Amino acid sequence: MKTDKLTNEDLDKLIICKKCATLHKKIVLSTSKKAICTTCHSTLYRKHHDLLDKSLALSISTLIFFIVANMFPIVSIDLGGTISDITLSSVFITMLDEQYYFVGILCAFVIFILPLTLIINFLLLLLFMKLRINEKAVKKMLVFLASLLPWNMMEIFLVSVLVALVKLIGYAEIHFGISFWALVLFVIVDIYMTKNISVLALWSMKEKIYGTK
Amino acid sequence: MEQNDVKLIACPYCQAVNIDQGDKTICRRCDSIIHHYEHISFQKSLAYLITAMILFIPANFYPVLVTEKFGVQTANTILGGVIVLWEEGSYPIALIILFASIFVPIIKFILILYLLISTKLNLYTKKIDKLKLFHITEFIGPWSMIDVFVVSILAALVQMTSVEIHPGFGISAFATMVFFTLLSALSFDTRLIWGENR
Repeated sequence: MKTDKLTNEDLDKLIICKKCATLHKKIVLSTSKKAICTTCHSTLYRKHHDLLDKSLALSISTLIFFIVANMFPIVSIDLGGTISDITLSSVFITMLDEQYYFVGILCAFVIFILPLTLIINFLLLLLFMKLRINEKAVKKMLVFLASLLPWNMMEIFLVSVLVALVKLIGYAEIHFGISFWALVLFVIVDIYMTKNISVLALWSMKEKIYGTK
Repeated sequence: MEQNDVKLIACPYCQAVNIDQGDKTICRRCDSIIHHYEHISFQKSLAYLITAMILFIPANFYPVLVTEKFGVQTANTILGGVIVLWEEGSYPIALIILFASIFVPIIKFILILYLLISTKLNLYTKKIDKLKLFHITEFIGPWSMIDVFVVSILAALVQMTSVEIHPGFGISAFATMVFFTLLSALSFDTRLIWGENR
């Protein structure tokens, strides 16, 4: 490779491993195979089949699960006849009521505002790509997506619900609400999406749809 | 990352391979600015880390949970809560909380501090190992949030006439600490590890 004449096409043929920064040359994969880093064995990229439709379907389902998770109680407890329950929003509203503003805002951000923004951002960008419109917005949303992802911690919230309930076993009778199951489904789809749909794959799909600039 | 004499870098936002043009490289694909201020990244990461380490002290000494049973208040610190759970026989949960709330922050402090110091002083370790360490800290970091969520859930759920659970001051310190460790890991630039020979 000539040193000073690396064109964009040459650069497009290269990939740098996200985990260990080893430089690789891209190879063509057959469907549903993945390329693995030679140094650290993490996945570099996959060959997807119907990525756009699949991710669109998945993000619509996460939106539905998220809405359901917000509408009904997650768990309710029965303590000698007194029943009390929590919804997703009551978790951070209580903290705000108790004047623990930082904790309240942090919780509101990571379990409500961020997942909602993430889903809407995802849904819109896929929809735009599907309709082949608004390339500029798609670009901005892809960059935004990459900066939101590190703050996604719904699976940790789900584990926390279980930990909190274990603390109450023996004191109160525990009933799972509809939202709990919606939350479980949300987390499963969410984990599947973060594992399988990489930002990189979305970028190459974008380039395939709108062409490279 | 070096290809003959041209330095190649991956855009942190879209992973496109770019030719490194020094201080301000603009990604050819997503137009994001790929900053090259490694010294700022180092100082930011260190500053956030020190803030988090200081906050770790009140987070452990002040109660995170105040239980009010028939008017009698009992306050529990994080470690106190773990001991109560252990005595009640909930060993797995006690271990989860102990790990997520006490070990994870400490491991994170040590690892980030080690990464920062060793890259600054150019101590010899394989760069790949350092990157692995960094990805471990990135992965385990958010799990400290468990305690913050658990306290919020319990405070929201247990609001009976006979028993009430309220958050304690410790949880504010703890949540702030977790927030700053996350920021510290986020602002740690993996290029610090690679750029140490220059």
